[in-house]
Amino acid sequence: MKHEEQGRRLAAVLSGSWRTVPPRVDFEAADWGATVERLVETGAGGLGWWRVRGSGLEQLPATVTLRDAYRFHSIHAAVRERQIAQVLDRCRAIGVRPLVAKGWAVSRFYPEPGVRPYGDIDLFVRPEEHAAAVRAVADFEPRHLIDLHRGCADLADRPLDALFERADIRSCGTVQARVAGAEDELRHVCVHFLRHGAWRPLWLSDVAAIVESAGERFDWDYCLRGSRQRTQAVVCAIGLARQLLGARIEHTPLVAHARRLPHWLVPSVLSQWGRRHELNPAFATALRSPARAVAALWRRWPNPVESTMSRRGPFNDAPRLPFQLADCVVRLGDFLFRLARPGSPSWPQPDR
Amino acid sequence: MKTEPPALPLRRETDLIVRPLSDETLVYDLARDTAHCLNATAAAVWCRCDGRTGVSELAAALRLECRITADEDVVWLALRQLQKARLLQARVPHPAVAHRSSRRDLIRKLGTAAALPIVMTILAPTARAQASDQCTGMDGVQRPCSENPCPAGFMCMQVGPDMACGCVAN
Repeated sequence: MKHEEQGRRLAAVLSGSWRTVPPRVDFEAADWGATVERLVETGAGGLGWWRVRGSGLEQLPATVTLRDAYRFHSIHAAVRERQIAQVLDRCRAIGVRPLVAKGWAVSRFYPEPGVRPYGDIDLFVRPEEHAAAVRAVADFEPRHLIDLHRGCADLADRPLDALFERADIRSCGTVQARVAGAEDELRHVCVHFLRHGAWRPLWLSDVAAIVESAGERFDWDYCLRGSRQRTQAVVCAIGLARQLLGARIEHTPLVAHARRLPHWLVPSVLSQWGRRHELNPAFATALRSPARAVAALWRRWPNPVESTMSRRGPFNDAPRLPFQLADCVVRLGDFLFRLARPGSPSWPQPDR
Repeated sequence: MKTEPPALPLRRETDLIVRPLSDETLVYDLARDTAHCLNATAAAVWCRCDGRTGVSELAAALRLECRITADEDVVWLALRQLQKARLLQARVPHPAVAHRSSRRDLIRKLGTAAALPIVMTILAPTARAQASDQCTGMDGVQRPCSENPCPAGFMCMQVGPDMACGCVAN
């Protein structure tokens, strides 16, 4: 319950924060320091600042952290944009035209770059061009920033050609970058948000920002086309954006559907938001003692949202435990399979 | 008697990315991977450091543009900070005869602390991730940080100024 309450505080701060003029601050600053900490930890510090600037909360000492996050993200966005242009130049030189995805691509739905931070550079390339693209960026520094995807796994239920054909063009420094069309972008951010257990509120504000920017030309039929389970996920994510962040969805055909969320969904998401996410040591290191192994398993217990997504379960009111158990078994099996391969990095080393 | 040449500060222009915000200016130093935030007074001084404008002219420009009662001491305070942040091309020697005012003196002169020039270094927020749900382990494979198979004695953490993930020693 404590986590849920903290999650609710985050939701209150982020409500409408993606708009050029966010709504008036109407929430209490209860436990403001902890809220600020969670916002910054989850990458929503800039959005938090955008929401509370000019309000009474601006004067609170903890708010300085939000402003610093906004500054940091603002200047980093400029640095990253330069790097994206350099990477796209390299790809273009060998005839590969990737789609820029996630962070930078989604930031176009926000009023300023500083409110929507992005770390790595996600690029979708056609599978047949992937090897060439990898070679093109092999000596790019910093290489670890570039995440080259073969197609788009989250949109695997629709033809890749359609994704590339419907791409929009956006200026990125000196080059023209291709980004997914708004319909594909919305479907992608919804699926991505839930697939990762809904743990970052920033991802839900992406959903809200895209939904609110959807004008008359937005093709809802196309957006909702594809696998039934993923379409359900899209509807649920939009419903969560409405319920938790106050996204306006009256102009969408989903008003009725998005109001009917499974009873477990909102508490699960809020509790994710309110919980500190500790980085887990490698599971293999926990195998030296049964107690540590159990503790490590407990820490990795999948949340209902991600296990529903990974087991392709329906978003309905049925209990989530079967999906969580199945997810855990599959992960454990995958881990043991990797462990059984000698030379695997997961192999536990003997104590020295 | 030997007279010192007039100080003509010159701002650095290479390897910098500048992003003006509404009331401050952000500068990223690509050579040192550091970011700075200049408030309006410091930014006004920095922008005019063209290698031809002297300190007294900079003070006059501040009075005109920022509408503050700035004198040369205010400009020197800005230059010292800009120099420390390596945003000037060369060191600007402070004239030996000049009186170095304290911040308190300057606030008294200006009437408000907000008008003091400030150059501060921006540090990365402790975001557990601006992003990435994926990170690269020692095997070169990208996967969620929580599943990164680091060898014994290592754990998956975000490392480096870009918040990338990697296996680091426990």
